[in-house]
Amino acid sequence: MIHQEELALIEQLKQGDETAFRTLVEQYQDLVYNTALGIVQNESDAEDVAQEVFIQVYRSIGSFKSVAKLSTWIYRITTTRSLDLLRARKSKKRFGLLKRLWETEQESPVENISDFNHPGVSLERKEEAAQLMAAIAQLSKNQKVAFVLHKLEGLSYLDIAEVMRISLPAVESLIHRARLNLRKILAKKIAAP
Amino acid sequence: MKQGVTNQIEKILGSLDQVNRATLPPYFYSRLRTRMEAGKQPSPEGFTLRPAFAILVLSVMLAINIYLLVNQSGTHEPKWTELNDQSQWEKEYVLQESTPYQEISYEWDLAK
Repeated sequence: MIHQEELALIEQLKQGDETAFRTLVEQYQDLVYNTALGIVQNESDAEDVAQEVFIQVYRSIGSFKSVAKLSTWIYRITTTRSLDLLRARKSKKRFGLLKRLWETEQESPVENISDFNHPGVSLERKEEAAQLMAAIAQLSKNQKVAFVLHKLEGLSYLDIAEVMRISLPAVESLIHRARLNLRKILAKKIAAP
Repeated sequence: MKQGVTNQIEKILGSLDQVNRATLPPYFYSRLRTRMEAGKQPSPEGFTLRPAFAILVLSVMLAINIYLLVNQSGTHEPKWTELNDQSQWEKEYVLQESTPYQEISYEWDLAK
């Protein structure tokens, strides 16, 4: 059930109220950033995604149906945008192989996401968390989204089902398979460091 | 040994439990507004940089090249109009009649 305050905010946003937009950004910016950061694993890319998410929210708030929670809608936009960025990064990487043939090393910065540290992790867990994030990066897109929403945002399986527009058993299956795959990836890494 | 690996994996899997939410650097809203304002202004070269435009230009160039290649390949027979043009040109510049220069060169050849 949507809260009365949220309905009022949505109505103000639909009327193009600047203050309402600012309130929305301040209310949801960390939710968006944290989710995007878990998927793209790079601070500047995550901020870029966050900006794109709010621009999309601003432009398409008119088409938002108040049957779903605003946060569910924002989570959906965030995960979609983050996956788009990963896809773009992948094709850029492929193109980079060709580009490197005629470019100097200085012109083509090498991105390294394997040693990403989530800023919300405590110091004593940093090393393990970095290994886990590197393993998460290797998961399939749906497993990655479900796992990040559950682990980093603390969403329930039901909330994840709403965000991803899939059934509850499908979410359970995704998280279960994600855990199995993470164990496999980590075991391989520990066996051959 | 195997137990040690399993414990290590479980420790890694639990490393994100009770993680704090990452927060954006300050002034995010200002940066967002700047980007939104910048997005409203159309860039002059934006249109030409669009992939659709580039593909269209390349396709047109390719079509022109193929057309020219097809028309220029094979034996080139002079057309009636070209022959007509040639004879008119010869007439105009009196190339069919002997000129004083030709006579001189003929005499020069005989002298040799």
